[in-house]
Amino acid sequence: MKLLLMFRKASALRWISHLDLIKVFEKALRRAELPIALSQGFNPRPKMSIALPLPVGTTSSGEYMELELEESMDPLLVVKKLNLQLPEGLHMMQVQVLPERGPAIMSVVDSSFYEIKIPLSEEETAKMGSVITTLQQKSEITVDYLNKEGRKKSMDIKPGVRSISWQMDTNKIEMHLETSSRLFVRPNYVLQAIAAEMYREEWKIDEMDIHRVRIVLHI
Amino acid sequence: MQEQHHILQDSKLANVHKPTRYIGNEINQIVKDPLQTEVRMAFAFPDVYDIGMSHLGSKILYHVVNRLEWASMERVYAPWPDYEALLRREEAVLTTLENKTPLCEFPLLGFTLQYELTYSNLVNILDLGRISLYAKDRLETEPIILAGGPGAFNPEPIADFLDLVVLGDGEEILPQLLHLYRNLQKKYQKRPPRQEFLMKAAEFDGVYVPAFYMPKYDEQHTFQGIERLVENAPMPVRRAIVKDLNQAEYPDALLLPYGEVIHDRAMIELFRGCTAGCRFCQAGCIYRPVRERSLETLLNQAKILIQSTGYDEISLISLSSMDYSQIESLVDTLLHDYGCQGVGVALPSLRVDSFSVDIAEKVQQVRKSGLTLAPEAGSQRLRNIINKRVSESQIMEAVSGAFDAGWSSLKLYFMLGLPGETDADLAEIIRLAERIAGVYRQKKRQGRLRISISVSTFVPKPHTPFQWMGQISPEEIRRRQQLLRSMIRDRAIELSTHDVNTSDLEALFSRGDRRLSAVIERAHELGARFDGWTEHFRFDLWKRAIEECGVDHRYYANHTKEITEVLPWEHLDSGVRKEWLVEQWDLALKELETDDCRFGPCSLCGVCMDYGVQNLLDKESNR
Ligand code: SF4
Ligand code: SF4
Repeated sequence: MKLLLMFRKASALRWISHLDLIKVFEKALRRAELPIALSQGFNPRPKMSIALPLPVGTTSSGEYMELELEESMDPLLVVKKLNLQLPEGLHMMQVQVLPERGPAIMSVVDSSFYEIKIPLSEEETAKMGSVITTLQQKSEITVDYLNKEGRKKSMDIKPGVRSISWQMDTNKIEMHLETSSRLFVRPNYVLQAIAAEMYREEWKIDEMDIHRVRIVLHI
Repeated sequence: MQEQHHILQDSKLANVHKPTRYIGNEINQIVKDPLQTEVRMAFAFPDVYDIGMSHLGSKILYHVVNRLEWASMERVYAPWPDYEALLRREEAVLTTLENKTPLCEFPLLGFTLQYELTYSNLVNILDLGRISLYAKDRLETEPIILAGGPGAFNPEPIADFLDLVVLGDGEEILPQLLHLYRNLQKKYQKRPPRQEFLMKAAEFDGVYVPAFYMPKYDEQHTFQGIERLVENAPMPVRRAIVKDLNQAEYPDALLLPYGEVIHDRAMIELFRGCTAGCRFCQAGCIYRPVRERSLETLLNQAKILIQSTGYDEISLISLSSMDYSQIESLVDTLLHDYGCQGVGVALPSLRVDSFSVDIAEKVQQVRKSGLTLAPEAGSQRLRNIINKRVSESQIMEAVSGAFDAGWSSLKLYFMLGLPGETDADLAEIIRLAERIAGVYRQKKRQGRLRISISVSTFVPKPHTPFQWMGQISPEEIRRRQQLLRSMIRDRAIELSTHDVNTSDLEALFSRGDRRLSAVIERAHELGARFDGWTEHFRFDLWKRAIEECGVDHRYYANHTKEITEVLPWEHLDSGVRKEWLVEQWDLALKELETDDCRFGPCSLCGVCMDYGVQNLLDKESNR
């Protein structure tokens, strides 16, 4: 039986790495005494995978995990048992049964919704609406990034920016960005473009409060 | 008036390399409401989280205190330099992980002293926690600073920073001390006066209050013994001993660390103490006698821990696990009961014999990791001197068994600078490794042979038969390391040695006295941190601090003391008698061995008579 679980990663748990997250789940699954299917080989691991790694420091209310059980079980009971074993900040929110022979969830990630808060001066707050409109109208948004080898590269993220908006009441920027294997747009790329548009320096790493609202899967 | 301290904002963690060292929130963490808890204690591990979270003793104390419903223990680890820089930049105070309480607000703060080169971190934790460094300067509103662990058996170098030192096993005495504190607090309806608490605490076996004693020196600045300042202060201070570990508390859950820590597995403690009698070994003296847990207790604890942690590996902890009376039954039962669930067994220490290799083979289905053995000395003569009772034929049998079982990678531990060591003894280390290589080649096995020889430098330790010996000089250490290196001909043999300056500093603190606290304070001020870590160790800072304080490093580290000399730690009783240590020193000079009292006659070290204890072995269990 294959299950798709949606979970939240919040508060202090946002600082744990992807590797730690897997460790936490593996041990929680053991403690919950669920009939988890194990991989073959010397070091049998629970058959479990996570749709998309969440960067350290980012919170989320819509991550996905795929889980394989050896026998059928009430999916809600799985959620209940697992939640009892998770540390504060990690919580399973939804569950659905997946077809036995579907594609791996990592391969069906399409895009993600984000909510972002950054410190803004009064002037910047006033300008934000028009800056976002400008970005929406641009045919190309070029940003710099460091590739795996640490070399500076640039790319056009515009095709991957599905939407972007400014919420005046909450002072949050909302984005819907493609996060597939074809094109991966990180929210801080968009922030970089906003900073450039405002002629200001980029926000520091500890100033960006990035929340992934949810991942969109193509299933 | 309590001043308000600034606590670091959570978002600032984005600036540090491994933020999970500072968030707490682990599975099995215990967080109690500060307002509902009568006695709150902070526990500080003066090394980084990754090391601290691997330490069993801390986990035991965490459990023992937190199971008292009126008390709590919260943790703090030494901040890594990136986090320290952040705290200082933000002018934020160091807090515990559980309730993010500033250290200075706790009534009690305890340190564990696992290693001499964490002393600068200890001072740094006090400093970042906004606590006066010296005990004499502390106000009634500041925490009482406690310390325990093996370092407590010579705490003199840091004694001026400490209010109270616990000698020996902590799991019974610590709750007693908290009880005492609670009662006094009830009497006063507020924090009790620290002097009264310390006076009462000093009545317990195992409690040493440094301020109740004062060292004396003569005109040549030679230590002349210690004087009592308080009439009833015990002399010597006795050690706290748990007689029967089956009756002692053990955690039913272990904190699950985040990040990559050194030992990330379930742990059961098979026994405490070791009577093998290696003469260089402090643990082999200060934890006597051997107190085994019964097979039944251990199997029960293993079951509970596997359930409460979800670990897939369980480690069998003790000073020499192969000596556990029921080791075979224990390993067999664990493998039988949990093997099918994918739970493995780990053995942290092996004895150098074929029996150990057989057991290691049983538990290790995947043979990726190498096998580690510790003959400690290359020649039989030197092994007799240090009382490592293993013969060359036993070593050969063990490695031959290991090769047959499929191992091709071996790690061998030796020591350099042992009493009576000559160049010929060092040559024997290399020759032994070559003979082992020969055994491997005779077997014509596939796979590349690797023999890693790790040679540490002998550091004389208080309360051991070698406590009088000076360490050989740094130049001589270098020469001997060089000599060893030059003798290696075989390409399968690799040699690693310890950093000379590190050993030199260890030797300074190991047999140090109270005059060293000024050095530690000064080195900390100059920036010394994490001195046990090569990437952070700044020997130049220490040299400068030592010089500025007018301390003669060579006297402490390299001077061989007369048997008649008073030692700075002699007022602290480890359980073994001085006569026994002297006798062992004599036997060492004569190159004579002493039996392990578990299997042979009692050698009258004294602890059993003086403390009403005995070796407690689980000979009966069978399953
Ligand atoms: S076997 Fe020797 S070195 Fe090991 S703990 Fe016992 S006395 Fe110390
Ligand atoms: S007193 Fe005797 S039996 Fe007890 S630990 Fe010492 S040597 Fe062993």
